[in-house]
Amino acid sequence: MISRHRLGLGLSRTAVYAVFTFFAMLAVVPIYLMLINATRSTEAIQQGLSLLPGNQIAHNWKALTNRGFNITRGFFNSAFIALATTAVAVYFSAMTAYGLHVFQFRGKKVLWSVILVVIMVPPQLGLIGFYRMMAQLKLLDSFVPLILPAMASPATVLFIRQYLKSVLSLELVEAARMDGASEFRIFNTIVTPVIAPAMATMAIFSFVGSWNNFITPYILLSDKDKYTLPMLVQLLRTDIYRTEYGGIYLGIAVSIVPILVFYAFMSRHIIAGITIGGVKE
Amino acid sequence: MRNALGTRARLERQGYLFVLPFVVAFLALQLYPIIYTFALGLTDFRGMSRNFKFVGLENFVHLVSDAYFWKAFSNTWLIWGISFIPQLGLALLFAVWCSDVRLRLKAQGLFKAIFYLPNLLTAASIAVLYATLFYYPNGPINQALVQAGMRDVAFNFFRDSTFTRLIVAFIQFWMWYGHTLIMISAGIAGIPVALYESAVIDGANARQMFRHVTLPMLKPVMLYILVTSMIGGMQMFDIPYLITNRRGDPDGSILTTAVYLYNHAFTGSNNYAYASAISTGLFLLTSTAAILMYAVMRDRHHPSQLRPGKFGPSAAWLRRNAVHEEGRAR
Amino acid sequence: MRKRGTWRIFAAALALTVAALVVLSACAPKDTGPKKLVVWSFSDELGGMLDKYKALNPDVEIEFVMVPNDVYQSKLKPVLQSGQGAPDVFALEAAYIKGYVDTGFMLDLAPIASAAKDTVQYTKDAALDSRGKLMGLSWQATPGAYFYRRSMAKKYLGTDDPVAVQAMLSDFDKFLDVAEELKQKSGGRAVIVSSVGDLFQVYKSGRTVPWVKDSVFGIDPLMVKMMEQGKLFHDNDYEGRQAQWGEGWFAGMKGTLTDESGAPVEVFGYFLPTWGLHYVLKANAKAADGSSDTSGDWAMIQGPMPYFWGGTWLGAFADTKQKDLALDLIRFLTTDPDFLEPWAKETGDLVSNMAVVNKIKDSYVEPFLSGQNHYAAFADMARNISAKVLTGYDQEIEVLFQEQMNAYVNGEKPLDEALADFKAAVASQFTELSVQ
Repeated sequence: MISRHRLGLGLSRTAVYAVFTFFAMLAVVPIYLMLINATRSTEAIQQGLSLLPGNQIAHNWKALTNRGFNITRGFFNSAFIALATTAVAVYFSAMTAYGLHVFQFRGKKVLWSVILVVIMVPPQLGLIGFYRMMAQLKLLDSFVPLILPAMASPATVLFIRQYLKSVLSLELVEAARMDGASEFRIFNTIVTPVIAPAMATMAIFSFVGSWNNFITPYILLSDKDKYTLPMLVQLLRTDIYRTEYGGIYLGIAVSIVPILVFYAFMSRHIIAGITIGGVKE
Repeated sequence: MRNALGTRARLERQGYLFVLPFVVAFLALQLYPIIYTFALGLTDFRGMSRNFKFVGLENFVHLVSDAYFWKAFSNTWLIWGISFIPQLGLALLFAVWCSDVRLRLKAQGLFKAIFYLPNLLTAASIAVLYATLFYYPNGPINQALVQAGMRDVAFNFFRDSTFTRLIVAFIQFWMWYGHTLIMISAGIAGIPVALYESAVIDGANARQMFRHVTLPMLKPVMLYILVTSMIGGMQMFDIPYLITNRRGDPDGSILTTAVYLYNHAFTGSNNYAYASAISTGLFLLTSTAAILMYAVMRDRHHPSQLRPGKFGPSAAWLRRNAVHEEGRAR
Repeated sequence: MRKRGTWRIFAAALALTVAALVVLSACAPKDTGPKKLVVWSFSDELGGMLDKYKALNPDVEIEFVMVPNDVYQSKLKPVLQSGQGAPDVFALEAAYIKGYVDTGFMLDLAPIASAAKDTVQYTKDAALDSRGKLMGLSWQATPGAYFYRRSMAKKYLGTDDPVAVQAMLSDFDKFLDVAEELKQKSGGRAVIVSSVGDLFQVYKSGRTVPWVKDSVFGIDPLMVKMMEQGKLFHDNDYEGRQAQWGEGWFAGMKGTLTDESGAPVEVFGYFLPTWGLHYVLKANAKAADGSSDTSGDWAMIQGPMPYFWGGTWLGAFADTKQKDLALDLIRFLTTDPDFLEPWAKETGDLVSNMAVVNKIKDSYVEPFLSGQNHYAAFADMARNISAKVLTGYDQEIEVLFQEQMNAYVNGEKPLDEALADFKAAVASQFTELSVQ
């Protein structure tokens, strides 16, 4: 078979590996430095770089948390918002995708075009209006406006619908109807297991997106007890929280390590998720 | 297709029920805020006043002659451009290497996974991390430079406009080239082998095949990456906002449009009206740029390949644009 | 038939949209019930004070909301403006209290003004509206001082006696001389301040021209003088190149600061106010791993200029449903001797009630300052403070100023250009001001 791309561009395998290793280091070194410094004492950090971890993590934890800096609470706030957002986004998107796929109704074409157009609209466009609206609804210091808008996630709908097209046999649905199952029952018990892989892929992205989101909670939330992790981490650059080098690195680490662990197990699915979406149809 | 037992009308109603939550949430929580934002841009609504009135296009007249707005807008393009060109170039090169049968690279999956990793990390944390790494005078980078004898004294990176822009652009590059690489790899995998076979029969060499087969065939995916990256880049906020003093300094060098908008709405006089006008202006400019990109690329190459939907939106694009994660800046 | 179907569907969608909005607003926090107050502040400090009020008034429920300093105003303004989710009582800082007193969102404190007869005058001036009505009260007075390391003074200046050191540092020209002496005698290891930004609060208090008067922006010549002074500190290596409130700034307090090559940098002193002594300097004198502790090695003097820094005022929301309760809380926390006296003893904070201060000031011995009576010294300084130049724009204008000061001090642009850029930035951010 003829090689698809004979395009070494004059480089040997070794050279390519060297370049790849360099760029891999570029990704890993800043994160590694952060993790190492999170375990070293402030004094050691000031002395210079080290590639070996220290044993000061307990002191750094104390330095990080001793000024009312409740990062544990922030962790649970973030986790709660991200889980709720993911559940809402994935379930309602699956429902919408199923509605669009299986039923014929007036306005369906319009809705589908709206979804395709809205995907291209930059998300910050309505930010000021959204903020003013939430102020009027007394929802400024609440998690609700961080979670509910996920009900309408056009991109997730699109992804799941593409998947539905390729896997769902309408005979299965018809058979269930003959047995007298209600439409919602069919959706919940028969359809969702079939599209679970697509829902899982979108759940990963939805979760990470919510976990990392900064500007929306930053604008909406006031009470420090409701702060999410990114909001707390950015506080490490402001006044009294910015005291110990080791504590700052540890604070950053707390927000990033869960994603690293998650990624270690899920990287295959995540990368497959990007490419499946990228070349479908 | 419909079974005779289920009446058409009943099924039609059921269909509405399935899409209703989406429609309601979309209308109330997305479309309405956008319209509201446009409308606020036509008023003089500020933080501390309880009354506001319609002032027509006054804010937009001011916007057109606002030097800071145009500075912010050009900063945003500059930083995005500096991060996007190497991002695309490198991703293309790496994707070609990965697909090169002669090289037979092993552990490609691992490399791609590592290159992609920064994309998943919290941008706010990344900003704090880089600010700490480049800290003056005794952050790790300065320690390394001085202790390795490369400099006599520390360099104040965040007091230098060029370096500050480069650091922000580098972070954007660092977070996104892995994603672009995966997209382009998928694009290459989708090119029919037959095209290469006929090229070989025509006597084409590797370089010619790249120029005449790979590149044209990748045009749609590259156009898609270009436009989505541009739209995301125009919203850039987290990194330029957090990495220095939250006003885009030193000397306004990383004042992006989104940072400028935020500062008008949420600091100073809380000028929501003007911030809304900035938002609207940015939308118009971004849309124009996106349409121009499509138009230019279409003129130069085979229109058949630019069918919208040939490459559907990627999961990461979906993720970036899900409403609950507004502001994930590219 | 067809038409009606479409209409019905449209109506259903509309109804659901409305229902969703109703549900959304129902999720919102409930209005304050009987005997319940919502209190907002930008620091944890107030939380501990509220506990004392609750202990005496068990029937009152207080919800304390702590909003981080950097976003406090941007969160407070919209709730006061809309009245929705607004606190009953809220804290305001010196750098912006004047921006609130004339808005109509604050309750006139006339009913409790008589309780504040012993309150130090400047704290009342700061909270007067344009018609002279009292809108806020503070429990503290916040004069500033210069704190220096005794061991370094002995080593490099020959004495650690506060009277002698004050004589050496009594104006900024002398201050520069001592900076040079420290540099010479330490071989460049000792700096008199850790950042140029440390000069800011001192100079700022000496101003006679406010940033904004009658919607016209102006720059006091003293601010320009400070930029030039700052450049001297920077160019002669009299400062530690740190940023105020930065990691290195705090490291200097612990005595653990190093430069980029890992060599130690000794910081001679810090400009800090009353609260700075307790919440900043004391809190950061000890390294988290216990390897270093400068407690007891500090002394306090007035330094080159009298000044004040910050301070927290309490005000009430004009439309609060709990007017009497809100007033009583403010009266208790800011004027009541039965609260302030034990509070002062417990925390060492200088309270605003001068009757209380005079009663207790002579009994203090502060081990952190090697036995100095900081309280009596602060009490004397409090009398010299003027709050006449405060405006509601101060906090945000000063952020813009500091950027230009940094640019000039670092040699990025000449003075004229820095000042021109400062004006342009103010004009852009505050379109309602006239900037000549």
